[in-house]
Amino acid sequence: MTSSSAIAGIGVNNEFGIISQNDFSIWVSKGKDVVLTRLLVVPSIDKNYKDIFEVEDESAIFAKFCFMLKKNKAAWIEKFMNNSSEGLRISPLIKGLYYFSQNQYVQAIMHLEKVSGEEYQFLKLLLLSDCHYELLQNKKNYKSILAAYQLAMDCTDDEQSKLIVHNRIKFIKYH
Amino acid sequence: MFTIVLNSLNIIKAMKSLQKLLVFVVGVAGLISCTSTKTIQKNINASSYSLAYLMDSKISDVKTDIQLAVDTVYFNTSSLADTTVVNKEKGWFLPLVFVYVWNSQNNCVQGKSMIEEDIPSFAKKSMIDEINRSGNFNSGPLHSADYTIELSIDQIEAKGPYVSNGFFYFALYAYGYSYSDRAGPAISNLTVSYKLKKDGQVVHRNSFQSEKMTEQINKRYNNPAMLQQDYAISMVEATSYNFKNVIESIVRDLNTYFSKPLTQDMRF
Repeated sequence: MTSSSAIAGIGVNNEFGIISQNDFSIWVSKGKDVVLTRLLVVPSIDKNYKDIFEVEDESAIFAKFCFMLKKNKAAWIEKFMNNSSEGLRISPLIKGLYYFSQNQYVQAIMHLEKVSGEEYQFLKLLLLSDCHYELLQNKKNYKSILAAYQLAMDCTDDEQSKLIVHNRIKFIKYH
Repeated sequence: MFTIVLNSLNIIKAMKSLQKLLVFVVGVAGLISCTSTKTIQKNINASSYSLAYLMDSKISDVKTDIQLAVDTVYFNTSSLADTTVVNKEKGWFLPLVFVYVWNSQNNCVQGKSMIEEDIPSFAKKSMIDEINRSGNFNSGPLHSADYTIELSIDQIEAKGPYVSNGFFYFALYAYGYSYSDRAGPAISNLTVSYKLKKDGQVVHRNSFQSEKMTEQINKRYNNPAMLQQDYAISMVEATSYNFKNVIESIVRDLNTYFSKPLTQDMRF
């Protein structure tokens, strides 16, 4: 697993960063300022991505895919999206995240809404809220999407996840 | 004779040039020196910001049959000025021959203009939302509720410093300057009292106060106007935090009240 701490965007989307839960915990414990940085915190990020086509465990696939997005391994991402993303239980999440990484928020919403299961519910709701915010014509009218962030907040008991949502609201208010 | 006239003309020309330079220098120094209180006030009052916040209190999993309606929210409009006011507390400008130094300390006092929402309506809606979330009872319509609650916003204020300082120097055809503006931290205070009524009689009352210091935002500012805007946002954010805090406290207090035997209603 990588412990790289640089935030370099997600795919070609430079508005957001992607980070593993472990790294995020380290950042927070070290007092690193993450208030105005919009982070997507995923369970883990695996830098050994080249064996992604051989792995069957979906959480391992997701960790490798997240690394590819983090480092914007465009060729590998396209190859994976064209060949192997179908048929997985986490396929809607992967596709949603892929379109999110391409700044294609409408397509991202279409796929994210199909994500089921408890494990990625918070990430799904956070991503959906972010998509809706990014699609706002006038970012000052953000009150209409607060309910979406409230849903994300209410689906988790994890304090760090709550912190992420609070920081999103801070970002929105200061932009 | 011709040479003397020429020299005199040159001296006059040089003096005119120096005069122009001085006017330029004083002008530039004036432009970049201490941000005026009027400018700060204008920038801070330029927009209003929302008090909206996300609720993160524990969602109640047990709701009794008690229904409570939020009745009137009293708010003394004179407790908060219409517009944000910036007062100069102290300041000085030191015009030395080649160096100008300044320092200006101002105090910003939040006004209604900074806040997007109508404050009593916001308090009422937030109270109902919090009851529906963390209350062990329900909110209901005024005509059929078992209890009514009256809120009174007794104190609402946010104020804090705004300091600008810097220097300007010049040496004939070269000049340089440095300035910095610092905003905050401001302190926001909110006090809300309430009366719980049953059949028109007050059965319980309490008051809650919350104080919040504005948080420093780690952000690079290219111009003071942006800093002043963010300062206004931080003041509203602190006020928003106080509303959240006080309203959560009121609902917790009501939960405690309703969890006790109803005979205590007779104590008032």
